[in-house]
Amino acid sequence: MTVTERLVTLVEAEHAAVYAYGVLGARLDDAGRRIAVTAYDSHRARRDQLVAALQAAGVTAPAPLPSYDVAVADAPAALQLAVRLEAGLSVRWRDLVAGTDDQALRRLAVAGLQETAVRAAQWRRRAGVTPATVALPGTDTPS
Amino acid sequence: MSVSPSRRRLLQAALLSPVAACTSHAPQTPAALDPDVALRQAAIARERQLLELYSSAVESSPALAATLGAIRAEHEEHLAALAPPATSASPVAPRVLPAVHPVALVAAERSAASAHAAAALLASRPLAALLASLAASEASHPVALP
Repeated sequence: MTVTERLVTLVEAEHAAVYAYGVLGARLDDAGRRIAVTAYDSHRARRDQLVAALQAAGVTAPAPLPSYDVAVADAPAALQLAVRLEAGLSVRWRDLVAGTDDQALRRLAVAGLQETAVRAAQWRRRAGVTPATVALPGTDTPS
Repeated sequence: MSVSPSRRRLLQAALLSPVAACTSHAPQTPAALDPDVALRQAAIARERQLLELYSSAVESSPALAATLGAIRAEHEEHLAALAPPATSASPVAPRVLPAVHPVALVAAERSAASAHAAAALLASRPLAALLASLAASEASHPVALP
């Protein structure tokens, strides 16, 4: 997979995360919703950085889909989806670390991996999952 | 393997300058030329330090043994991922551990996360991915700490 392909995959995943947080936040309690709002903003910011990186390389970034299949019946389902989103993004950020020597992209990817791992842990903790952390974020299949 | 300018700089700073005078006639071994070796050793040292800190913290706060033990186990995994078992199993002489309050663990985790993240910018791709995962794991540990 080329660096460009990795960036495109990440933009697509960030589009989906932004959409999903808009839906799942409504199912959470106040404290959970506050984290979801922060996560929403953070995913938008990372998406914009990725789009800018693609544009700098002369590549048009993929646009978001009109809608995503996000079925969230209740708070536990919302928490489960949030964990899955963040863990899935961790895998893609780690792939970017492993796929580039460019310092700016490395830095972005290392930061993205850290952010998604921290948020996955926050959501697992709220869901009562123990342990809330994993030893090697980005290497596990999304759960 | 391509060597990026930043890796080359690190190599020169960390390896070549102190020994330049005595190695002008000796061939460099591949290991001595690979910045990953120093980066990996530094990461191993950080993980060993964290393991020791958690051992002390469990002794100081036995009530937190389950929580701290789970995180300590992740650091054991980090060490195993960085070092082959033969070198990671060096026996440590038993000694009295200093008292460690759990709050100190948060600072230690954040500090190790920053150092791993910085090293991930300099390492070759496979080691960079591992270091980035370690940085992410350690950045998330404060979420699980009491």
